[in-house]
Amino acid sequence: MSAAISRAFQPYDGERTSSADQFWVIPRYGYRELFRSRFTLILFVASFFFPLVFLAAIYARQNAQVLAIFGQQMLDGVKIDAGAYIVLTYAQSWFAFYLALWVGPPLLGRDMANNGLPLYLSRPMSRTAYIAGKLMVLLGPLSIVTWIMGVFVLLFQGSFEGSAWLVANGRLFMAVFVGSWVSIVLYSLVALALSALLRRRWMARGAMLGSLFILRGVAGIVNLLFNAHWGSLLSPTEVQVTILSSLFGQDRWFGALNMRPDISAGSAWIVFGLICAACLAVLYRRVRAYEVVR
Amino acid sequence: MSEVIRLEGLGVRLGGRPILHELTVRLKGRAVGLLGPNGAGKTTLVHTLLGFHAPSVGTAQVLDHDIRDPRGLKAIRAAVGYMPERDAFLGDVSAIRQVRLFAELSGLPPKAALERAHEALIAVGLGEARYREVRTYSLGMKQRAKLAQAIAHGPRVLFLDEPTNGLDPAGRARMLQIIAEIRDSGVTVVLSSHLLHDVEQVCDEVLVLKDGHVALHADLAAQRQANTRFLDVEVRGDRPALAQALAAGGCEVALHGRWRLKVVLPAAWGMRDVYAAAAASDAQVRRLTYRRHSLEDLFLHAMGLPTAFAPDVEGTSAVPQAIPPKEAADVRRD
Repeated sequence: MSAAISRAFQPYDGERTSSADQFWVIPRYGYRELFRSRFTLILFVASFFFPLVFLAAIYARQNAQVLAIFGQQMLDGVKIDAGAYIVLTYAQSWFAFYLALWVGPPLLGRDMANNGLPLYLSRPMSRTAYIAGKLMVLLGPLSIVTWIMGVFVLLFQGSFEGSAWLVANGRLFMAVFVGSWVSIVLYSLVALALSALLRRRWMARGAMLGSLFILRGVAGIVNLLFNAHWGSLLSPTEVQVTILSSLFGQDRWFGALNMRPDISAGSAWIVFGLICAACLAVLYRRVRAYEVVR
Repeated sequence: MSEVIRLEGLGVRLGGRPILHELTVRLKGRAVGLLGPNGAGKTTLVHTLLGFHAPSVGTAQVLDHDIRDPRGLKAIRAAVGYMPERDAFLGDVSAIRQVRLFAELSGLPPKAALERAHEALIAVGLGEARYREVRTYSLGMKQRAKLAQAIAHGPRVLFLDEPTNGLDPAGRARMLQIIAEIRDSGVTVVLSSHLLHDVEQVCDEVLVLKDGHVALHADLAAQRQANTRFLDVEVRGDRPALAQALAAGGCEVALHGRWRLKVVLPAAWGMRDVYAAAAASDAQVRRLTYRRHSLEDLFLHAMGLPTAFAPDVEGTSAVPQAIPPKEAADVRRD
């Protein structure tokens, strides 16, 4: 910065950044804001716990000194197979949920509650770019917590097991990657849509928790009342679990988590698409530079 | 002077209701005042020029970029600054951080944005408070913070929507002074306001809207110039003879009240000529004053309301604007 700062207004005729650079301004500021919160940092660090345990277990099974200390028999009990990756993906999706629950609601609500949108949208950026920028703030950390960690653990194990193992477990890679993205997109869009709809962060957080637990309860009641399974379609978590189990293979899923979804994967994908479309519709309706006065 | 804003049959409908009715006007002043009563369409016009509303008919250009063209709109937004009417800020964020963010979003590199954010906040008088969160500011400070974010990226056109709303007289004077400084630095200012005094103080061109129509488009600078040649003369003696003498010399003249004449002088005439005509007509000039049409007169006239010169106000038959020679002749015949 120059030593002397001008007191009068001066026109600017310096360098300008590209549209791509301008798009990354919102995520960049968002990330900086994100980790100013100690709770976010704690949550983020805590999400490394399971992947670190997995990495340690994989390393231990391949290390002669560790084998000598603990013995082959003991380490045989710690199997890192498809079932373990299902547990890891499922556990990490919960961390992703709590991270989205904490980080998501203030993202839009803070701008909207103080009428900040006209300030953003009078810049050379569209509503889509604004929403995408805010979405990126969630997608980045949620990706680290879910698929980046999952794929890293898979690659780490593959580096010991060899290329044949990697090829044989190709479906695991796909399942971890796609399954994680289902969780990321679902949580991010729901968090942003509720943030835009309710504005107050605590209300949005409450509503997000409610969408998880209350709708799950409602789904159970509907199933009970009508003696059917379709009620589970009302619960986003049931939908998510159904998609994950279809990606990993339903029998494997049941073996690992003892959860058997009672709706078809196809209907779960359709409901997932509908939830995403509804969230986007809410976002496009609420994110405007002006208030519609009726 | 080149046109900054061109409206070509611009119409806007919101919720099925027409808000702006095919406006056609070319604005080229250094500072343009958008006037009109509440609901006249001022804010809608500004929003449309920023691309917040799509025109239902016609189009508009800002700095030769068409608002209907997405690329043009992007170029417009990169070249303008906007200060909204209502409180607008980001929660839990300091002023410097907020202004820097918006400067970066307008295309400034991070380092330049930080430098410009400091400059803008100092220029609007928030230098000491720039590290405080905007939500802790007083109303006047919030207004100035809004102005800072609108100017930090060095816009060529600045849209200000009611910038003095809610400010005390000192704050208002300070805000108008800052706006005048920005105008003098070469930025075109579009000031939307319902406060005539603010517009009169800052603007050299005015567009008055009424129910979404253009009620008046006036060059205030030229108007001010013209007003210096508008005389109100109180005479004794042969008033009709003086009126005839003035009319014969090319003046526009109207008799008004018992003793007075309203005169619009031609360019070649000076005060001395008026006195000479009076002496030649055997009339005594008892009082001679410049009558200025204030912006208020123009506004009220545009709104179809009685002005300060109207008979019901002063009890005279004065007309608010220059009297054409034919009408002057009619008055003389009376």
